[in-house]
Amino acid sequence: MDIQLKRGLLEICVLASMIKEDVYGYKLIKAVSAYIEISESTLYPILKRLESAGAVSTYSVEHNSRLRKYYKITPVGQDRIKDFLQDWENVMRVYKYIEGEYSND
Amino acid sequence: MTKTEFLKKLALALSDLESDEKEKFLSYYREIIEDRIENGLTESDAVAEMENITIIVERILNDISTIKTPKTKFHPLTLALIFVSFPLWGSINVALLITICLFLCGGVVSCLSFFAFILKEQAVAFMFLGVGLMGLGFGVFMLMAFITLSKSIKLVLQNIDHKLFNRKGMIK
Repeated sequence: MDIQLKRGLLEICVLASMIKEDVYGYKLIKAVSAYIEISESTLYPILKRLESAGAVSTYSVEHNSRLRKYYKITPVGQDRIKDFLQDWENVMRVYKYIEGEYSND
Repeated sequence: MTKTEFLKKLALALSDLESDEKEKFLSYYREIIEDRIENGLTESDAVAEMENITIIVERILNDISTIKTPKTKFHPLTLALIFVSFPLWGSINVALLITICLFLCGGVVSCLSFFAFILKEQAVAFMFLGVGLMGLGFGVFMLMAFITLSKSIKLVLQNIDHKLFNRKGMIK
């Protein structure tokens, strides 16, 4: 997959994994890696970027006498997913056109 | 490799990073390794599943330098509480900082006296040097303790802040 495309998709996947409930790093990797390849070192900069863009907020919770950092999606993050879904509706239309032309050939 | 060894190697490889940045990164990895162990892996397996440190560091140094993390935001009420309690923690802070400054300044002055006495009274000069170094050492030690303490207090405050005001969506 194209690197830029993968990066964009990853960002949205990471955001999507926080919609139902706030997540911590390990859980996030497990959830997302079922759909797209992701490692700790790729996730870290993504989280950081999302946090600095205000799409994600963080807090720490004590768990088994250590701290666990949770990530929570913000309204800005929700909007990003909405935009993504809208954009991809258009992409899918173009995709169908391309696919149709190619297979008619 | 144990978790501690892995983190130590990682810290060493990241020594160019700002300490705050480095600490955040290390705790991210520490947490993931601990979660893996909690989910049934042995410590060495959990560490073995991590990527090669060289790869990690390369990615981090490439990517991180361009992004800035926002400052921690507190709820307005927490900020108000911090402000209202200023006379209490403010005066303690000032007292501590003054003490630290006195130790540092006293240490420097005492060390300098070494040169003033070295030609006339060697014994006195070395006493001044000793006392000065002791003062300096103690001052530096207290300063480091002060900084570490401030950092942990900030973390505690963040947690209190979250527990008090952001109950919605919290995970048990």
